[in-house]
Amino acid sequence: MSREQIISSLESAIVELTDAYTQMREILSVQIKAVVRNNIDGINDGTEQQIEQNALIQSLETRFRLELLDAFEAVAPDNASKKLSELILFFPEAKDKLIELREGLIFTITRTQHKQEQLVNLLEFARQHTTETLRAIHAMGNEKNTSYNIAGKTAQHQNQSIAINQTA
Amino acid sequence: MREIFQISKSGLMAAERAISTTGHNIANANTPGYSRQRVDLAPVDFKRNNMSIGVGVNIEQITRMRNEFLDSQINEMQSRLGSFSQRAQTLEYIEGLFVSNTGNDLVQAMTEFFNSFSELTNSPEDFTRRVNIVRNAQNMILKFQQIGSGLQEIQQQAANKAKDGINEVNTILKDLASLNNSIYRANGAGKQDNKSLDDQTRLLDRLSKLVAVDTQRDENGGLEVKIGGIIAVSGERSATLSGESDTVNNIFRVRLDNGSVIPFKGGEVGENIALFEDGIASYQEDLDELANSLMQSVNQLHTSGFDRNGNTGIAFFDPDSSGARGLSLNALIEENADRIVASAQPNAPGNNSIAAQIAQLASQSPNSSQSLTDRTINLSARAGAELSNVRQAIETTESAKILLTNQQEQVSGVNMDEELTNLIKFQNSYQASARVLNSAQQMYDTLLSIV
Repeated sequence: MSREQIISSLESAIVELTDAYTQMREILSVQIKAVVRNNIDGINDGTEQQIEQNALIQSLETRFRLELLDAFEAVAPDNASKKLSELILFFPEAKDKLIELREGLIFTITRTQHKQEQLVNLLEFARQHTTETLRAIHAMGNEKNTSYNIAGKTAQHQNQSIAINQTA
Repeated sequence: MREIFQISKSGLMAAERAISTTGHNIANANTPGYSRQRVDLAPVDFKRNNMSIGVGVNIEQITRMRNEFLDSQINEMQSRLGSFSQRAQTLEYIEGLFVSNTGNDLVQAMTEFFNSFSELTNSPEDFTRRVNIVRNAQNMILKFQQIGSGLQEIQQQAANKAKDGINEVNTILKDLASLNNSIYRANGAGKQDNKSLDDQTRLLDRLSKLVAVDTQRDENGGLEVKIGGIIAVSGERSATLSGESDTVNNIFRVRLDNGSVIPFKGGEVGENIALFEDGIASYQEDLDELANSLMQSVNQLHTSGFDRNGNTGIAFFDPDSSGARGLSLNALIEENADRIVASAQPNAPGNNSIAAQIAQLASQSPNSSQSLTDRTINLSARAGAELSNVRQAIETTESAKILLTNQQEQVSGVNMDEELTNLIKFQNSYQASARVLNSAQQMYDTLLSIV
């Protein structure tokens, strides 16, 4: 394979990976909105799309890894690092373009990772909140928590007292 | 026949009341803090010959449709948001003091100061290079003083904001106590004062933005409010709080009218107190330590050598000065740049040993694990890094608050079984999504490691 072909294959692998991560970020954004809006179908659709996108990213990552190994094999077979940043040094003719693509990929991965962390935090909160709500509903049906109105009559399904901001 | 009329009459009255409540709901649909109301009907019957005979319906009460559990969670989010927003605002100011877009900041000023000593090593006798050192030292000192004064000003602002916030807390506490009075009167008449309950919800929303509070309803429906575990509203009585700041020891106290101290945490006021006592003070302390280290390191070397005329070296910075705001150049050096020390030998004006050692202080760390330049860079970048974390926390908390607010808006007289089923469905979806996200977590790091 010529140097031009190696560069071209590598560039296209990086571009495709960057696009896939951009799509993943969009999926995560839509899912965050779905969680916030209590849209259960939206959450489930988002999960399905994530599974598909993860599979796509993994296949693109495998392709990128193979392109990287092929390129090292052609120009520096003894190089142990097998990292893109190292490989760029062996292709001065395409250095600027490859650096630009590499930085774009890192930026996109980092932003996607950030979005993912946001969703993980939100889901953790939502899960905890739902657990507490279930517990509160259970407590409401518990006779020990039954409250009484001024006339001494039982007022059903009323929470006796609420302590707020206990953990703030 | 009389009973049939009775049934019709009570049914019509109940329906009229229900329609009127619906109208009230529609009219107040856009009123902030308004809770939807529902007419609760109860069958009326009387017993005759051990048989229960229905005689129509009675309006048991008009229930305020509001999930207090969600309210408490929203208030908690509100308190966190208030706290985070306040911290973000202050960190933005601090970052602005340390970092400048034009590069005219402390890191730059310190680099130029040490560079000018480095330049002096090339020609230790050159007067122009000595004047350049004085100029760069003055510029660096000015930066230290500006940041030190700026931090002091921000700290004072935090104390003032805390005091203003406490005044607002007092007004809210007073209003909550007054609403308790209305609620008691309505309860005494066997009614529920939904308007006052809504007003209390709205006031609690604002109060929890100012400070973290605990609340509970007493047996007569009145709201009891505790701040820091101490009762601030009980029945128709409310406490009056006052704030006092000790700028020498960086202590802020909130006192009750009887003089006892009340712990104030969370919310905008709590955050301003924390910023006053620890947050801003820690920047001030680190900046002062940096200024003192710089002064001691440079002075130690400077007094060990000889100036251009062969005299024993004097302190470069005024040895009586202390901290960033007090840092100043020795007046004798300011007057005469020949007093700057470059040589380690007397009467050897071409010797550059001490100037070289001072220049190396920029990258060396004689008494600390980090060099002076690294410490300056880290201190300058700290506010930015903290700000980034706080912004992330604000984003997450805002999303959580919107989620809860949406749930509150959806509260209605739904079937409890249906509600529980929905919750379990949601819980499953959350868990499924979290599992997928966890499995993808490693993917990012693996790829980043080969890029």
